[in-house]
Amino acid sequence: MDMMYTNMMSTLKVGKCRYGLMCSENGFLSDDGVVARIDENTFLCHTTTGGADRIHAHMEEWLQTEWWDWKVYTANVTEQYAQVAVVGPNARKVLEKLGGMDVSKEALGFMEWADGTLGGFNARVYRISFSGELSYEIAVPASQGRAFWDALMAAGAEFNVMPYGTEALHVMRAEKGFIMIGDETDGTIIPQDLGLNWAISKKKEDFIGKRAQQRTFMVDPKRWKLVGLETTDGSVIPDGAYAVGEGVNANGQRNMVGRVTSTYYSPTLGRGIAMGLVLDGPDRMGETIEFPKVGGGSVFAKIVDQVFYDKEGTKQDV
Amino acid sequence: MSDAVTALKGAKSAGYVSVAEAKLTGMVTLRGDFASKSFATAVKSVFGVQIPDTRQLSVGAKCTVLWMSPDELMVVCDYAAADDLVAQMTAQLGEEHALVVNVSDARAVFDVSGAQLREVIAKEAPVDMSAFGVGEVRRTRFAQIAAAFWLETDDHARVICFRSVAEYMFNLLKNASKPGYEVGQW
Repeated sequence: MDMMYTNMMSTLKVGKCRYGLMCSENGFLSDDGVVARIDENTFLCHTTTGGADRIHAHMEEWLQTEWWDWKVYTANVTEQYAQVAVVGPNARKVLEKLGGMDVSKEALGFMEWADGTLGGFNARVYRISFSGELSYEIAVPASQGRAFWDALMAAGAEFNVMPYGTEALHVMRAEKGFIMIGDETDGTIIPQDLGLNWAISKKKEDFIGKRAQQRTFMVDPKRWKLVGLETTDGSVIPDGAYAVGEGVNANGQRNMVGRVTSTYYSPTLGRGIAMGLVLDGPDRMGETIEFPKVGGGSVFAKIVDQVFYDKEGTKQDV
Repeated sequence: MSDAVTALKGAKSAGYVSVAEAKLTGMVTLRGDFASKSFATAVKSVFGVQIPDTRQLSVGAKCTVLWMSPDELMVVCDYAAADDLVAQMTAQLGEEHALVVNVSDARAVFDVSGAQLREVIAKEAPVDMSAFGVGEVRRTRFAQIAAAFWLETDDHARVICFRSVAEYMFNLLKNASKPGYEVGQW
């Protein structure tokens, strides 16, 4: 686990969860997700949605070709479970109505997990949050997934429960400044570009990608870095827009100083918000940069912290 | 506890070969060192069979053990029996390095029956069905999805795939066994 992830996983205690990053041997960020320690010798690794096969194959490749004498087996159990996120200020009330196990803050704190029953369903409950709200992710056997969903919808009716899709999730996680593999990353991005240094262990002797991240190009201070972008007129920066700087390059094109990686209208804040990779970005807080639009005109955006909402994380830890 | 349901609630099709989604089936993944004496002993004592040879299966009184890879077996049993088999196997293995996990909900199982079932499988999987016999198991693909199958008898095959692609598999088998589309190879 310490080789697969950039951060320290071996110190994770049974019953706890930890967010982790996975890189390729070239140092590029390839996956992220929450790891739960099930027992002394078992870790359960959540991958990005749709990434389970790829990450399972990545683990098997290293185990079969490089670490064949390590005593580690993996199994891809993705399809064994239906996992439902129950999210929002009333999430706990809905689960308490189903009943069967203690889901209070005291019994099941943020970034902890527990096995039990909810409404008669055998469930593994994780207190993890990608939305930034009070959030439980609940895994039940897949063959009872629909029945469990129906039970949640019935119990939640009095709280105006509703399904939310990935677009809503995308907006909520962007308000929180949480990265998305495939948006903030494109196979050329290292965790350091995204300000994720806190999730890269300095104590570990090695992990996949460590050596690559020490190469001159990877430590170049001119690598574009992740920042938040707040449009000056409240509009939404077009998806994929590039920021232009002073002067032109050798081909007579405007010099580029950054690009948008995620851009949304935030209904919570009532304005356009975005994250982007910007030259010297973290050192230019408060400065305004220009994003020309296809078809003429420009959007101007102020460089800000990427966490737009609930910076202290108080909403998810209640 | 609500009633557990299969992915397609027992979907059936009656073509020139019949296809039916099987009822919930117990499955246990077991990984370990086949060369280890204590591992082999545990398999024998809990499952009642020898470790199957490469690409073979072993049929016991309460379960069938499939060879999945040089260090992985899959046990097929009654749905209700899987948890107990996992507990027994875990206890039996003791300190032996192994992985035992109940994966009974992870897959869909299809019964494919009829004299021409070899032809229907050959339409979807890159497997030489003329050389495929009872007692063998094959991990392969059916069109675009990962799958495995074995023959219970010469005219009854079991095909398994992941649960989330159960409908794709069912439609594939249904279409391949549509009356009027016999190739006549078998």
